[in-house]
Amino acid sequence: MDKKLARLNNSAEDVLEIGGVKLGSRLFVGTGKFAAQALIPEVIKAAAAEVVTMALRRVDWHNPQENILNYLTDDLVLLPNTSGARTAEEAVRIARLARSAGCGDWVKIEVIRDQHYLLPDNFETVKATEILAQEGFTVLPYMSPDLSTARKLVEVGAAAVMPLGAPIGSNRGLKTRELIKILIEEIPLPVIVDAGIGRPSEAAEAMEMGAAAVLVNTAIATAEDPVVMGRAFKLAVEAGRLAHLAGPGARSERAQASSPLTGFLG
Amino acid sequence: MNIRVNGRSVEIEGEFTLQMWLEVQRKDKPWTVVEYNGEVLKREQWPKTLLREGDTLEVLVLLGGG
Repeated sequence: MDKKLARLNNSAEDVLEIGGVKLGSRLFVGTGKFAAQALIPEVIKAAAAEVVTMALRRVDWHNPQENILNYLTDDLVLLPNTSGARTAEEAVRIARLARSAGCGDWVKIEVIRDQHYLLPDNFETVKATEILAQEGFTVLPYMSPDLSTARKLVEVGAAAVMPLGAPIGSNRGLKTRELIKILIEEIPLPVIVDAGIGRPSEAAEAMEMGAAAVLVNTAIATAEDPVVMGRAFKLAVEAGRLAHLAGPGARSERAQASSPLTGFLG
Repeated sequence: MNIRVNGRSVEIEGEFTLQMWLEVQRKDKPWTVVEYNGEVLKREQWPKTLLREGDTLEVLVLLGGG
């Protein structure tokens, strides 16, 4: 193997730094929708994930519940989301509560009013990001891929931006790819594709495009075998990352012969 | 007296600290998170917080999510 590739293939050399934390894995994993929570540690291991998401909810008064943290090891970076928030104020409340629940300083801002497509409210997301960044949180805002919003998020102190590929849980893939490409080109922060990725091939494509990481939940949790799918996503993300670093060749409309065009047999 | 817990009205008879009431309700888990009248309330404050008429509590837990 080429020395450069050998080096790039070693995750210790190709780190993603967010909020002062160095990550070897570029696959973030969500912990929702698993048929059994006991699967989660195995999935995280198979995916080699270092960042995992979770949600804060009201206690169910009548049914026993288990804290998701019971299934997560101490070496993981916890990324609680603010799902359920409809305004910046609610997102800020949830972030503070999650921190007091032992989640650390990272938070994924999620402010949603739309109930059909669960599309984020970019305006409220910027407001919440500004408040929480000032309070010392490492803020990763989930957003509709819009350049001017992303620029505002940079200004107010986001640690990364997390544009959606398709609606949450839809498994529809990179429907917003052209807009995500613009963010990757223009935004000086890690761009992490969140929501919509349904297949490892789509995760690989996002990474080839230059995404810093992807966040996958539904595609793994709803697979027939979530553990094997976790591994498939790990390999796809690594392959896509390597392809990006290797620099894909140019595309052309017509054929470009791969074999010499001279010296044919007579 | 009445307090609001997770959006519903709850009748309480007698004097309770938050700690005592959560114990009676079996919700004093190591992972329980409480917002008391709109503010995060640290665990060490629970035994010192006397529940009063009209208090609003959110009693929360971390669950799987994306």
